[in-house]
Amino acid sequence: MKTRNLGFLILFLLSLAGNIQAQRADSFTISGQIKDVSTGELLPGATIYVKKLKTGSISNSYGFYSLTLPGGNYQIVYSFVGYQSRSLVLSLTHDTLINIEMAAVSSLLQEVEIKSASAHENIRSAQMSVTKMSMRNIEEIPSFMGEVDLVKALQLLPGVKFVAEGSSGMSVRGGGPDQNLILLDGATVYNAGHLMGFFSVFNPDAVQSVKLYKGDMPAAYGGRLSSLVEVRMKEGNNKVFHGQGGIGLISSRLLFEGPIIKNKASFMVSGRRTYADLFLKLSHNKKLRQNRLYFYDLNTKLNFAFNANNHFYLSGYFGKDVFKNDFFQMDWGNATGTFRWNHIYNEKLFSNISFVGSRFNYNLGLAEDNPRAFLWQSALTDFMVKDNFDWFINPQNKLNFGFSVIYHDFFPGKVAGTGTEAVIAEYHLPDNYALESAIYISNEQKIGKFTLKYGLRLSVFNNLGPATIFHYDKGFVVTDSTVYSSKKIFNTYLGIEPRVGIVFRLNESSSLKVSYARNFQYVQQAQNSTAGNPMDIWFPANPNIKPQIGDQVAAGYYKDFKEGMFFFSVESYYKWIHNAIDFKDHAELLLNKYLDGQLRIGRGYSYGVEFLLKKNSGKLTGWASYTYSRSMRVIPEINKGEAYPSPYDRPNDFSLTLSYKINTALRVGMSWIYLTGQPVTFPVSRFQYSNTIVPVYSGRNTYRLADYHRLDLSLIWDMHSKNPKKCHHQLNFSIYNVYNRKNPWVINFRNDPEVPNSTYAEMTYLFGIVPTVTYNFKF
Amino acid sequence: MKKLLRNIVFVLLAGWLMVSCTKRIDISLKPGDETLVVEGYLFGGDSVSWVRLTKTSGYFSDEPPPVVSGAEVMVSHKEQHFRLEESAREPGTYFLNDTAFHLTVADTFKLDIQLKNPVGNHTHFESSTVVPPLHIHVDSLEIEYAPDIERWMIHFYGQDSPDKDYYLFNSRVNGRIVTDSILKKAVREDKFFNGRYISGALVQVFNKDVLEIGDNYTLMVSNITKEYYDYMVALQDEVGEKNPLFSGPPANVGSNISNGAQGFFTSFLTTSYTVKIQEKVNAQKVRDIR
Repeated sequence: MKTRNLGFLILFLLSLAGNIQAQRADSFTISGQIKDVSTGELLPGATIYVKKLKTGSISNSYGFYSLTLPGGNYQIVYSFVGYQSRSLVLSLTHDTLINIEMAAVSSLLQEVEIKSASAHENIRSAQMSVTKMSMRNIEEIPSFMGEVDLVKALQLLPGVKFVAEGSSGMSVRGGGPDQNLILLDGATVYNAGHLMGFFSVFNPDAVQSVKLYKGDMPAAYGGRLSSLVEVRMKEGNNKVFHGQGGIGLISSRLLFEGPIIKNKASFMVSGRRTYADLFLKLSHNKKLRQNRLYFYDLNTKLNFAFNANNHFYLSGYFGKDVFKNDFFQMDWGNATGTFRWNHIYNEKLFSNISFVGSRFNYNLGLAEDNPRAFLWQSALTDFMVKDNFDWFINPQNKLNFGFSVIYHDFFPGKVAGTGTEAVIAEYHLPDNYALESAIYISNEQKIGKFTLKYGLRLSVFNNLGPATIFHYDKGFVVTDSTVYSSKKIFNTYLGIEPRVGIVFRLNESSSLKVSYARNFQYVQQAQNSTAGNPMDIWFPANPNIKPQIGDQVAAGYYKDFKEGMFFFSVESYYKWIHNAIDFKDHAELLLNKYLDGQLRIGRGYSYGVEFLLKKNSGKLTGWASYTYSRSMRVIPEINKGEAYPSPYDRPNDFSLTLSYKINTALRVGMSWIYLTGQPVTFPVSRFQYSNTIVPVYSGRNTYRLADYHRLDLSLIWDMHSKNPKKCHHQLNFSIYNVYNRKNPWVINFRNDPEVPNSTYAEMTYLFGIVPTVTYNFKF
Repeated sequence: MKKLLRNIVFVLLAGWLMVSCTKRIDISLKPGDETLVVEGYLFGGDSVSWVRLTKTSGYFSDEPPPVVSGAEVMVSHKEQHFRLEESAREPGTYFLNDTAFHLTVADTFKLDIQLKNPVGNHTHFESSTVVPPLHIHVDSLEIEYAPDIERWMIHFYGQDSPDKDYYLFNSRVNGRIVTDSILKKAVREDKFFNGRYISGALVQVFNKDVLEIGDNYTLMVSNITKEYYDYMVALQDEVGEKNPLFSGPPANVGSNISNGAQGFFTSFLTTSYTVKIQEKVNAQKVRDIR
């Protein structure tokens, strides 16, 4: 699409909105914010429904809603999943502000059957392939080592797979883990794993909800090919002081929140720290006592409702992993900061402007007092400004538009000797700088039984100096280099990213949807292993590396049963990846100035069909999901140019996640997952070189590990106090891998030390049965 | 260094957490095509150069590699041709016993192999190697015994040249080579200390029983070509431990032999340095400087 056409499209969207606005000049608007009555937290995604007109709206990411109707008398129903619906009768004669407070239905305290308030949201919404989970849902899923983990919960959804046993990395519809845009309060989290990825960085206490978009992202988002994971931190209770925490097998948690100015300003601070190293101090072994090994997370948030039209938020996340002994030291972690200003221009126009900083870095080296000590450092720092507008034109049209600019500062690595007898001179990989900008506009339009979603994102990526770009010949050998001066834009990529979708409502409880989305990815990770590790650096597109482009088409059928008690969906998709990146055999990705020469570019494709059956209410809740999918790559220099399965190609994926409420005190949960084994490359023959047996392989990923399956169970025991003001205690018992399945993590081929010339295959598996108990409390 | 660090990080951070277990398993593998394997070295000085010819075999074959006997193996440099003779004691190994053979820096040597019977549908194979200059000078060693890990650690001191260098390190103890397999050898590139004095780079690590007080320890250092360095790195990748956190996908190691044969034909000059192990004092270092 040419730029001129793009301009016409934008003008068309704006004029369309304007015309519709003019047509409805005699109508009146109801607007306001929807909040939790007990905490004052805003409720995004709440449904506002007008029965008489069979129309409605959904509150935006900040709980704001707007609905324009002809004058008249209406019954308006506000509903939200897990909350008791509220109904208002209204005589609409002028623009009206209605802020609504809704009460959560506490599954802990009351025997109330929760009907999913947003029962029809999945039917009506123009967005495809999106799932929202609240922390309350996630907490009921059996946890690994007692750590409630939202990423592990997402991995139970159709189309989402873990990249390796226990890993918090995930593959969405066959994409790599670096193709997921993970946002925490709008800030990019570049490494979402603690302890080599076995735990995610999201402290469950501090998180309000998570929303996953599988490829069909709203036009407001981009930069990744596979998914958007939007994690929202709690805002802080602005009514009463509140605390909660827990003591688990490997970590403890503590959260405080409360009003600074009642109903106007609040704070939230939450921390988590592991304590394996604290126990090590009890050891008789001096060396062990000197070991330090822990991770911590600190989440903070302030919010201030200045007046009805202006709301300010300041949130931060700081997390780090530390390992240190008298020989070696390493640390890595993320830091993010977000300042947001919600401004309501009028009853129809809402804006959110964000200033965001994000940083991931690691340091490692020998202990400082070692004469040969050295320090290896790497970091990626982002600064972003984003302004997003929601314009609720009328019940038929909702326009979303805005812009974002990200400044990337890549510091891929520097290693330097720091000891008195250091062997290493300073070795500094060239730094990189880039600007990633976008403007976008998207409209959601209802026409009879159809809802159309059409939008466009225009992204621009600029490489900035100072920079050194190496040139390569056809054999990927460096031939020359060009040095660019500071602040000079020396390379630009333009991405035109249409996002369209159509919903056809068959009736009130079922619909058909189709969508198409194009995404550009300008920043990716140099990760050659399946699970990855914290030392995997991120690197930008540049004159040698074109941006990766993803095209996804999807179609689905959605059905609610029994007034939303059950939800069924089936979605199929086909995805093409252009300029797909893989790495040459035996690639050297760490501390390599010539990283570009290690890349091999080709294409990828994936397809699949995903089934989901969900039970939203009753004593028994949960979901079953099944996915059949394939994910392939074609890279000319790999596998003789023939298509090969990507590491995330696992055709059959089934999971069953259930929670059963026995009584007000006891709940049991289970999850069982099954996946086809991971594709792997095994030898077909061997030869001997230097007295060592060396394997010879045929094709890439032509074998598979044994199928993966695992059952986890949990029992949650709530010890209620008759006095609701007193502390509420909870014990959470979990058993991971109940039937002790030995799922292969890796298979190594070894020489038998006892029998010359003999070789054997050895499977390594990680976790057997892991029972844990966690004590949680709230006051 | 990167690989060393990678392993340290993996063992220290992941190892503690995982209740990892291993077990032998049976796997059925498809047979691969049979190809020739060439392991050929041209050495400088008094060392006898040799070429070993074997064939690939099934991965779970419990037999020694099938040798290829009766081949005509020739090394040539310009108009000079040197025929290698097959050893009667070690069939399949061909030695270059011609006293006129001499390795000179920057010379190109060609290898020609003519088989009696085809292997992988071919009877003729060839390769070539360019002798890299021996830039390195070893001026001292440091022998460290680390009691915590019960390992001997050999640190190397010497001047690196301003050129791009790739090094191969081998060791002898009392004249017997102890780096007799791929993972015992060390290869290094000089990008972290290019052109500088190398002040104690860790180049060899041995189990506690490899060295004893009174032993003569010899470190042998060779400049090797980038191609052979890459080949050795690939070999070490493929025969070393693999895990999903750090390991790339398995891949064939490549070759510089024609017609799809495996293996490598290379040449290098070597300098060595010998010290007598005089002490084994925990956490102390004995440095011999000449």
